[in-house]
Amino acid sequence: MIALELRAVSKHYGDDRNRVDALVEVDLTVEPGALVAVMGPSGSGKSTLLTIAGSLEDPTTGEVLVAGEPLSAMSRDAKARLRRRSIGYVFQDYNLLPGLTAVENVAMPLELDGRSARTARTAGMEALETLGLTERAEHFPDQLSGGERQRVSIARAIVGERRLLLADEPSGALDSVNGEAVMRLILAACRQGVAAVFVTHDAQLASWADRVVFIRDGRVVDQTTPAAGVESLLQSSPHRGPDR
Amino acid sequence: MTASVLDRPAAPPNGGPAARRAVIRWAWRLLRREWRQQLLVLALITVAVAATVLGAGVATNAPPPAGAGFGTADHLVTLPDRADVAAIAQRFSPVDVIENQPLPTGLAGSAQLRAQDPGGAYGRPMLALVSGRYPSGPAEAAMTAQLAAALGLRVGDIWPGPAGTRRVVGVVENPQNLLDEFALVAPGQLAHPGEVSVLFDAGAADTAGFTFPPGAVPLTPTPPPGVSPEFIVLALAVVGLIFIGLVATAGFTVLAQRRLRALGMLSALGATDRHIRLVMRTNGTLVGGLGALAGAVIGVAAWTVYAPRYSVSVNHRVSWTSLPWWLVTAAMVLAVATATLAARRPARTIARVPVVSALSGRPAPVKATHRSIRLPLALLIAGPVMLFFSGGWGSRSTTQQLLQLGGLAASAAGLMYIAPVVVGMLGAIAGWAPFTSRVALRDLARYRSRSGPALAASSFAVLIAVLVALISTGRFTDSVDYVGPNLPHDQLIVYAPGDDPADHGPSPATPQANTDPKAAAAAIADALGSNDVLALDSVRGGLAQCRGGAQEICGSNGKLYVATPELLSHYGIGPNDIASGTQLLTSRPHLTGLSGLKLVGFALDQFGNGIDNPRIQTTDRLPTGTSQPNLLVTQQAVDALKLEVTSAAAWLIQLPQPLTATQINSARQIAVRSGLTIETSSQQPSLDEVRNYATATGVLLALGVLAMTVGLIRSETAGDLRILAATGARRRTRRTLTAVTAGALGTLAAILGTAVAYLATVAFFRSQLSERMSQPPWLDLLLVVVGLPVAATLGGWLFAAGEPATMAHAPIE
Repeated sequence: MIALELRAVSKHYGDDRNRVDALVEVDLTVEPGALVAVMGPSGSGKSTLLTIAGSLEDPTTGEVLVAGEPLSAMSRDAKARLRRRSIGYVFQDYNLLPGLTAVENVAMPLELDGRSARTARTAGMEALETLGLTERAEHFPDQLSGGERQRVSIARAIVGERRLLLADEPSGALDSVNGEAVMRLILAACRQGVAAVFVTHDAQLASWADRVVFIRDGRVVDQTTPAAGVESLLQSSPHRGPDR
Repeated sequence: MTASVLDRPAAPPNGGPAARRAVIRWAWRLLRREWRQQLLVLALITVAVAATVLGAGVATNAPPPAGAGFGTADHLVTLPDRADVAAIAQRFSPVDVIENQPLPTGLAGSAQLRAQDPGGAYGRPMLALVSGRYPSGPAEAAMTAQLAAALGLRVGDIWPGPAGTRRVVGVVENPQNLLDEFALVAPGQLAHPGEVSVLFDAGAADTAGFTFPPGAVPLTPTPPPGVSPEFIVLALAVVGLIFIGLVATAGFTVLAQRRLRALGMLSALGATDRHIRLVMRTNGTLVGGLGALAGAVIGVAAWTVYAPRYSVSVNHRVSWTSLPWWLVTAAMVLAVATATLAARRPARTIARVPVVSALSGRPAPVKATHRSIRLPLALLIAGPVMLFFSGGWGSRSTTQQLLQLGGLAASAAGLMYIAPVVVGMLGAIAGWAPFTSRVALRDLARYRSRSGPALAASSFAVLIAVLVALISTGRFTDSVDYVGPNLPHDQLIVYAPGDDPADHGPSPATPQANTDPKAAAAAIADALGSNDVLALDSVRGGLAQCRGGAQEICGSNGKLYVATPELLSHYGIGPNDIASGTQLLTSRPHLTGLSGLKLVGFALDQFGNGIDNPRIQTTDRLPTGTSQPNLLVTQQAVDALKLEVTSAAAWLIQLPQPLTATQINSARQIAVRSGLTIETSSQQPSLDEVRNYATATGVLLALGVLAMTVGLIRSETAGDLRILAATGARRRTRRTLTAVTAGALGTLAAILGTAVAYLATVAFFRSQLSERMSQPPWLDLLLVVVGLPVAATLGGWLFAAGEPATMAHAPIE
């Protein structure tokens, strides 16, 4: 079954006179285990694509299916349930919950889904162990380094039975060493069958992906595999730049 | 994955209790991290609950304990000797017999030699051991500490008393009457008791069917009249918590904004709207709970410390456990409910913010919601209309009182609803203002979800303060029914038996003796070291103001003092100073200008003949600012109404210096033993004291709310400030921004609160306006209308000196 499918998704902001087309008729399919990179210039709609794919925002038109389930048919609570169970998010600025330790942050989606605190904590510890953060499990976010926070964030995104990981510039705030480490973790998750879509402006990181999708002015202008020449495509892109 | 994952049956749709526990745990952690931001709300709730606990203790323990003088019995009969005790005991067994015999001490204030069984059936609440032990044999005695001190005795000493030589074995007291000085001996040790009190339980039919000895009337405890003090304290607590609820709403709204990104993240993790609301509601409940707990602990601790001192003030033993615990519990529950309810609206608002907006830390763009002015206007019209038809001052019917309550509630609700509308208007009128002021005013309008409740809370504080000032002015300037300080601190009035206007009646435990009242009054004056004693003659009568056919009896509780030559001379009023035909002499202002007055005399509480519109002469030689005697009936009116004059109904004793507690105690002892009553300064505040206290409290509360709101609004707009700083704005700009924000809110609060208070008061007094509002509290109004805005502006200017911590960093994480 396809992990994520966008069918002619469009998103407009503003009213008729001040309309901004963030996405225009975007089609995208992501199979389980696939790692897809989304690249494009600033304001091209990359982040919007991710938030719509993750049910954080509704498209103006079109349809989004997660594991075959159309989001348009879901209530707000059903979408929340989908995020708890199937979708993991990784943000550039980590967005760990203040006041909760690393393991509590990781366990939170499971607890929200009704798992007991002990079960959720066990699962959280396992996820942290996978990422080599066992010793930092009881530390609060402000006691962790940037790289550690992002690894906790990834652990939180893949804990449980998540099958879709959405990452918005996951290494944007990290140095190259930590950035590559993060990509390695995401890739490892994909090897376990998790479908992942990540936004990046770093061509080197994009080369880790199975497929690179280029967006400009809200439209998918190209899709390719790194082997087909990501670098050459980047060279030809007139709006190359960081997406901040 | 997939459908099977979504439909996993084991997990409840919203996560169930496990999810709620996780959310509540996180809310608690956030509160621990951010308690400083909620300190004002926490402090207000703590103070409100503590004040309620302390107030409840003071109010409920002010009157003598229920059944004082009766112990645990429901009947008391006082006999001159033991002759009839056996018959009463046989009929109403078990009984508790307490025998008294006057104990001459040679000092001011007499005492009793008392034979009482410490383990008696009913009298135990009237006897307590302070130290040592109770006397058990014919050679032992115990006594009250003050009596022992007066006699120079201590436990273990030998007392050669009137009942033989006895060893003092203990110190005792009457917990229900600490002024009761006595020496205790074992039961049956008094050879010739002068008074025997018999305590027993009996039904009304039983006592009716029994023939008591002549002159011995069985007494029963009388419940205190009027509204219960617990109810009044609870009502005040509710009013206070409404105010705190408004402040808390503003505080929680700001808090929700601060947590926006974190809440957005929680939502991205799969939290439902209900979970998001739960975070904020839990925060409210926790703040309320912590405040209630802290308040209760502080209140009980303060009460525990104060109770022993309070015992001395109210002359009966007050235990720290003598609290209406149901009221303490109710106050705590109300505090928690207030904070929880205050968090509801911010919780709903924050849950509606789209996740993406929340994650970016941006609240959803403010929709151009039209806040209708119709509802607040309707309430602000309905309130005064209800007050107008509530009958004004003195109305007593249930319908009228309901109209008064409804009118006040509608006025207050109208004020709260109109506050956000008024704040919204600031943005519209900001266009004419200079740049910095324009920014500040528009910020207020932009952040009206915070500034609206804050303005409502500040206006509410002003409303209460101005209402208290206006209504107390109206009440205190009532020339017909005097209210205010009763006596200066250096005066004391002794009332003859049956002439005490308070009509408390003789104490059952210490029945009146057959003493000459005049001699007793002289003895009191001697004991106080005064020879300035003025006898007061009185008549049963009063000054009524007749309106619409109904007669309202006012003035000295149906007793008027007569302008005798001695009294007039005492105040330096000669016969020629009184105009011919004058029927009333007074120092009360405005009394001469009133219409519908009637001087009436009555007997047995029935109206007798009256004199319509009596001729009143005002003189400033009679005392002002005290109740006695500021209204005198002349001999001409006495003759015209054929009033019966009670000669020497009271004695006014003037001292060279204020009375001390010891002197009052001595005077009271003599009075009690003589069957008289005394009145000293009741410590009732004067009009100025009431108004000034209310004004100061209202202004301070309003300033506290403004400080919190202004600080939060300005910290939220720190980003704008960074932009301003980057474009060259100076420190002065920052000061001006904060000063204008505070000043605008302070001005609006002062104007709104004062306007609504005036509207309500004018409607309430209606036809009595010229009388009740003849002396507006100009100084207090000036303090509110000018002082509050100025103080807010200056405070904003001064406290904006430092750069907020959020200038350099985003406030979250």
